[in-house]
Amino acid sequence: MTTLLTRILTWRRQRAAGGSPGSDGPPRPLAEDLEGNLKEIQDLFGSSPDLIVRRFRPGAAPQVEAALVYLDGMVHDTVLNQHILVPLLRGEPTGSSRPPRRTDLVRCALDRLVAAGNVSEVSDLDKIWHELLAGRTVVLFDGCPTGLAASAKGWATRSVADPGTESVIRGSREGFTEDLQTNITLLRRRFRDPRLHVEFLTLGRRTRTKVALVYLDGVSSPSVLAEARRRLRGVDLDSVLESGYIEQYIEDAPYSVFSTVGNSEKPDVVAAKLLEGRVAIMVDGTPFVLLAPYLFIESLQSAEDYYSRPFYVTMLRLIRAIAFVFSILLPALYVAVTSYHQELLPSTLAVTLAATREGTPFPSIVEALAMGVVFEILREAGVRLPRPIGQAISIVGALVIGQAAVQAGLIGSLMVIVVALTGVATFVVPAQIDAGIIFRTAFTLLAGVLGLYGIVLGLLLSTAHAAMLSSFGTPYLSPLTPFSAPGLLDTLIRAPLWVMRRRPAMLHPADEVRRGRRPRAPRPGGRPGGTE
Amino acid sequence: MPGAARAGVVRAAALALAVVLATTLLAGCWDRREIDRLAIVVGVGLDRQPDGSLLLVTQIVKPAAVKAEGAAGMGSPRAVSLVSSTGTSVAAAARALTQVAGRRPFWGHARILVVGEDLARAGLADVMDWFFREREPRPHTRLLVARGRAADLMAAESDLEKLPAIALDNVLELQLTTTLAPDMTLHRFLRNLTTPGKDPLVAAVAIVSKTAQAGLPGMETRPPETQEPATEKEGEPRRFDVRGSAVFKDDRLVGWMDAEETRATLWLAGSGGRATVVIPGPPGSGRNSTVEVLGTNSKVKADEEGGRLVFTVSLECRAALAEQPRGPETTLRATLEDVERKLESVLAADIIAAFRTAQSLGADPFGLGFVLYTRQPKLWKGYEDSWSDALGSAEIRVSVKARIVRTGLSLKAPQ
Repeated sequence: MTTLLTRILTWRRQRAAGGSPGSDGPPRPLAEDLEGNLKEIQDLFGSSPDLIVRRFRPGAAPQVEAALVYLDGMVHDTVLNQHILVPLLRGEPTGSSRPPRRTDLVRCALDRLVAAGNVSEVSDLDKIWHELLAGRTVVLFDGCPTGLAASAKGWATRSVADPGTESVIRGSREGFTEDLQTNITLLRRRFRDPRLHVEFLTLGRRTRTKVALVYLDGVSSPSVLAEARRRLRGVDLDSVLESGYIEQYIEDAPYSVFSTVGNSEKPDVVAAKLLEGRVAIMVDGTPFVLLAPYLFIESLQSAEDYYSRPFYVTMLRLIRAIAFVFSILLPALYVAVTSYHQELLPSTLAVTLAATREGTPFPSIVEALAMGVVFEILREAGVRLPRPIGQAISIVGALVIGQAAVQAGLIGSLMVIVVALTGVATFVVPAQIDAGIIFRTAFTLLAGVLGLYGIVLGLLLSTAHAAMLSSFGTPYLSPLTPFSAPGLLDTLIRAPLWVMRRRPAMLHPADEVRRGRRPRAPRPGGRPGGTE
Repeated sequence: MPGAARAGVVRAAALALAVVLATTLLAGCWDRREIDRLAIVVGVGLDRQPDGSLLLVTQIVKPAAVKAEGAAGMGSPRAVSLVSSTGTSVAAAARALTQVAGRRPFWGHARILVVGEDLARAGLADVMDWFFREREPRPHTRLLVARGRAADLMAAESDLEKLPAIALDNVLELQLTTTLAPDMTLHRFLRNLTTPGKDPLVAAVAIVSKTAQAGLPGMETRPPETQEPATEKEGEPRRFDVRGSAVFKDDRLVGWMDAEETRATLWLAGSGGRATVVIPGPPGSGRNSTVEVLGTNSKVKADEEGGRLVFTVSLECRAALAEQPRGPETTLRATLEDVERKLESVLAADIIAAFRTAQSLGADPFGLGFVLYTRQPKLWKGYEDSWSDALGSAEIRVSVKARIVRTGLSLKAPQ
């Protein structure tokens, strides 16, 4: 089945690779004629008014016509004026006896005039529009078949702020932004280590989105790295507007409900994952950074777990696991028990349950499914609306659904508790929300048709399915299965940091042992610097 | 080629899905039964009517009444309705119940099965068959014998519980913790029937006037038989009274044991636990002491002496002092030893009394025969067929070793 699907995929990709316009054509060198060049560029942009062409005569060679081309809004005006335009206009390089010749003009401007760090020569028309779209400023001189591309980028970006997802009580408040360069900087600031390597790719035939593959040289598994490179190279699509586009092209099991590529908005999380031997894929235009390999157990982990002391965290992990089980199984268990296995309940509970369901018109399976849908509607409405209205929605929804429906005798009050508990439990494990909702619905249906037998059947099938998955060569359920005892130190329990001396072995890191050693226990009663 | 293969796989998958959906949804044999469509039976009473047919009385939960909030918990109304049916067999009566109840009876939560005295005397083995053959009733349902009619008992009320059957079950459970009633479930009853040399002992429950005083077995307590039966006055509130036990010979009720005999029997059989025992107080005090028995350990040896069986019972007993009246000034050790000796003699007398009662009924609730069966199988072979006669002529020698291990928070009674 999966081989078949991959075959369909590759076939589609091959067909799509037929070619899209505007790229990969033969090189189009610049002409010597400035007007011709400018016209070509303007034609390319369809005379968009934001393409600014500033003609001038360089101070170093006033007889030559020149032009400054840039896209309005993508350059930093002050930088452009003071460090590029002004030097070019003044142009009298000290110590020079005679004006430079036309052919030397570019060289002269590059070497002595333009006061920008990132300047290069361009001689190809296609290269020029790439540079313009990247926010660089292009300087062309009449009679020269080459021009200059100088970096005076500057556009409106969101500042580094609290990430919208993954809120923590303790830990860094920084979140990635939409700007790739800022994001890489955020990451670099956490590693004073040149071995944090960044590889750039451009993906998306039309959007030409910059994508960075980030890894920690000497820690990341070479095989994972090679696999990530191979998969990224295979990505061929029209546009990349968010890292999700890439995620869907590189994940191991695109037809599974389980996600096999992780993501995070937080530099400290990405740094931690890199240190465990994972690789990160950052995409320009989104704060969500992809992480691979992604294992199921990661959905129970949170950045904060490592910043807090281990005991409470271990308890939290258990609570998350319980919540995950609740979020998937609670409505199903309710349906199974009320419709099939009444003898499983303690007598008093059975009586109470019968009392709450007394007079309700629908079987519990219908109730469970309907309430599940209602809950999802409320959630979706709350998510999409502006925050103040969203709250109003949830209050009205809770009142109408919770109170009125029970009072009207439409649904049992216990069902409301079940749905509410399930709904809340879902958000305890945010990484599995989408899979959880699908499983919950499936299990509820199974329970409605086959009772507990159906639930067990569903659990068997879904566990078998999850066990068959792998992410970039690592089994999805490791370290639980295949079992790895040291791996368990960071699963349902979170061992003290110095106990977790080894990086997770299932990721096959190049450097298995973390540096450092365990803290020395202070001598009981000893004073710092005290005498014997 | 791959296209054709793919189409084949897709078709096969679609077909499989269609078959699965069709079998699950279209088959029509959906055995779903919503909990609110069930008549949950919490208590079952069985009586033998004069014509030999069975009267089945059930307490069925009224969910709406459960939901109704009682006024501050006081005087909670009965949340059960009594539904009864008759039949020549239990199964027939159970089926007939459906006509009356209007909902399908659900037997999985039946906590107690009360059997009327007449039915118990006629034998329970055949009656029990349905409870084990049917899939819903549970073997862990508690079995009780009513002194009188089970139907009357099912109509009794409880002040604290909305479900009288559960109240009765709770009362019984508490009696178990003081070893005043045997813990007999359907399953244990059946096991006793199939165990050689052991007869069932079942808790007996009477219905008494609500105003009747409860009392621990002791020096002055009247045996339950002498308490006025409450069935006389109609309309008077009645409560149940679990006290003593019904002695069975095989599956037939042959007689009763009072609470002390029951307790002694259970200790002898090794299934007793804690108990509150009242013993004569210190010399000259004219009052009684009370001890809390914490645990017992019994050993039974069987021998044949001069053609008759002799059972040697040694019972070890640990106890705590619960109440001690003022007595002559002595040392603590002397006081404790005095208490120990008195406790020993009371317990020994109880055991012998229980043994005499059992002898007179020809039943063996102690499992003495089973001791013989396991320890001296050859001897058992000889007595197997006439066990009640052998038991009737058997002798019992009891030695009790009591030890007071705790005195509570005070050492001496206030002088």
